[in-house]
Amino acid sequence: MTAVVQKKICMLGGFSVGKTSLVKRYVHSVFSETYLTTVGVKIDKKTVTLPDRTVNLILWDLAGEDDINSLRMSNVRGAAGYVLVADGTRPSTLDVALSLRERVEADFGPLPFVLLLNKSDLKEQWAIGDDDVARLRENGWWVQPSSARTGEGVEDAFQDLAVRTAG
Amino acid sequence: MEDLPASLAERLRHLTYSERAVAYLEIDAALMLVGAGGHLDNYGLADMRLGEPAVEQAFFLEGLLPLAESPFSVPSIELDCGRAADLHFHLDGDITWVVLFDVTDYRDATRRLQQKAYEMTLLQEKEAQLNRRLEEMNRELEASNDFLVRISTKISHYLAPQIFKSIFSGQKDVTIHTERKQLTIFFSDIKDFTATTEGLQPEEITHLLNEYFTEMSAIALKHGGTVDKFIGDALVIFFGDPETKGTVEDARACLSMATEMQRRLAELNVKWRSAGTEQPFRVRMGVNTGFCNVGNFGSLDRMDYTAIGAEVNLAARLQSIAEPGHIVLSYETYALVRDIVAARALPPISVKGINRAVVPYVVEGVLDEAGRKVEIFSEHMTGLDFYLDPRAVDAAAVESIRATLKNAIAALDGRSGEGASGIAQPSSSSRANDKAI
Repeated sequence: MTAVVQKKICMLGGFSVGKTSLVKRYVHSVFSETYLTTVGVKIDKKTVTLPDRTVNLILWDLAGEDDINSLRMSNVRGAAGYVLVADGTRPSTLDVALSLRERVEADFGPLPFVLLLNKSDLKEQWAIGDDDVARLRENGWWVQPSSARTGEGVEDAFQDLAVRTAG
Repeated sequence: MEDLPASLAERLRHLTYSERAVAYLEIDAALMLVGAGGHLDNYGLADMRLGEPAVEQAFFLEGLLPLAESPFSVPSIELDCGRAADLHFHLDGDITWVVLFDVTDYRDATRRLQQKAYEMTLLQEKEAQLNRRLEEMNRELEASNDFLVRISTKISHYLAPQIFKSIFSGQKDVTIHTERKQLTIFFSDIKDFTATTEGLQPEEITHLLNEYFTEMSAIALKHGGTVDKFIGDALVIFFGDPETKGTVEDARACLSMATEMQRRLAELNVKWRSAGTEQPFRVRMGVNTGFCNVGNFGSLDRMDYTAIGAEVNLAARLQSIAEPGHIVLSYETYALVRDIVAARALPPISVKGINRAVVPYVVEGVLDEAGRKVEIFSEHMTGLDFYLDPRAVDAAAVESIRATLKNAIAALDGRSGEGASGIAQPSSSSRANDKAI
């Protein structure tokens, strides 16, 4: 029988970047066009089967960061890793994501994370240049465009986090 | 609670427990669930198994145990069942207590407010983004507009201003299309241009010709003529398209233009002579009025806005039979302008493509308001620049001119007795020199 481990993963990012939609796509394989803001935390579980073990990812989908709603750092406590999400059609959300990363690292030290540039299906409105992505990757970060609508990049990101946090 | 009256404390206990659907979990130091109670079913936690790991049964506890601080709380957690709870943790000895309060209604109310606020912010972001896009597009548009203006300004120099205006205002389509219109066509040509400019450097010839065309074009424009083309030293101008004031007015405007050109040319000849050009420009002019085809001719790739037809050829032919310094009209033009010019008929000529006998009229002078002929004298040759329009002479200058002319005749008469010094300059501006002859 393979070992089962459980890992808390936080979804972090500005408001309306698609954190909840990414979780829904990943956990329930669905996507809804309707925007429904998250209050507090929404918790979901997804089981990932790796060759040598099974990982239960406990996904903490945290309310988006904005002017009035600042991230409660205590919600990140105990996280094994996190998914930073930015909206590729709103460049300011990339700044929010990067500042969240700094705050998390300041409080909890370096944790495994992936950075998703979400809404990659909205190509005409895409506002983050390839140069910017290349610069981010120079830090050794896992940076990928993703789309909760099409599923692009979603499975890979969580799979990668499962491997890195359960290792 | 001890401070409260017993009844109130009881009421509060009841309100909290029932209304907030309180439930609890009791977890020992080994993180085993050792107790659970309250409204567990409200949170989907009815099947808790005592003596088994707590985190495996309530996965929202993952990462939080053992407690890093006590008490500790996580507000508004949405559980699998859809209910939202505030989680309150505290340590009592080895036991970690977890208390759940239902905050679903509060969560829903907050969500409604937050949703509105976010949607508003998103709209503002969208608006700002659209405004930036618009500004960017405006800048691009302005840049391409500037570019177009620069290009069209350059192109404008290759077209008659009226044609340019009517194309760029959208009045005329740039398609192969012609119209039949009654035009007055003007042809002029510099007599013996090649011989006249012999001995001049090509740059000097270019300069002279450009100055001549610039001056003549300005006069044409002033009178409403459309400069059709420059052919070598020849000039083609028509009246009646794209703007017309009516056939009679167009013809009169053409004649006014032609006489003003003669006047200006006399002045230019004096200027050029004093600048060292020996031979004056002597210009022949021909004018005809008739129906022509006017519009765009050529191919789709390269077209010319011009007039063609036998009547155009006739204007050219009349120019060719004019004496240098003179204007020859067709009868058709003369009939339209006879109240402003005096002209003498020449022997009829025949012109290919025109079935009638063409009677040319050579202009001898213009008529004043009373219909009297005012002769204009114009002679330009080696050793002579002479232009006299008696109407244009100031009354005060008449005596001085008369004296100059007398002296000039005397000088010519006494030419055999060489040795006369001084040069006559019959211009009003050099009256002081007249006496020097």
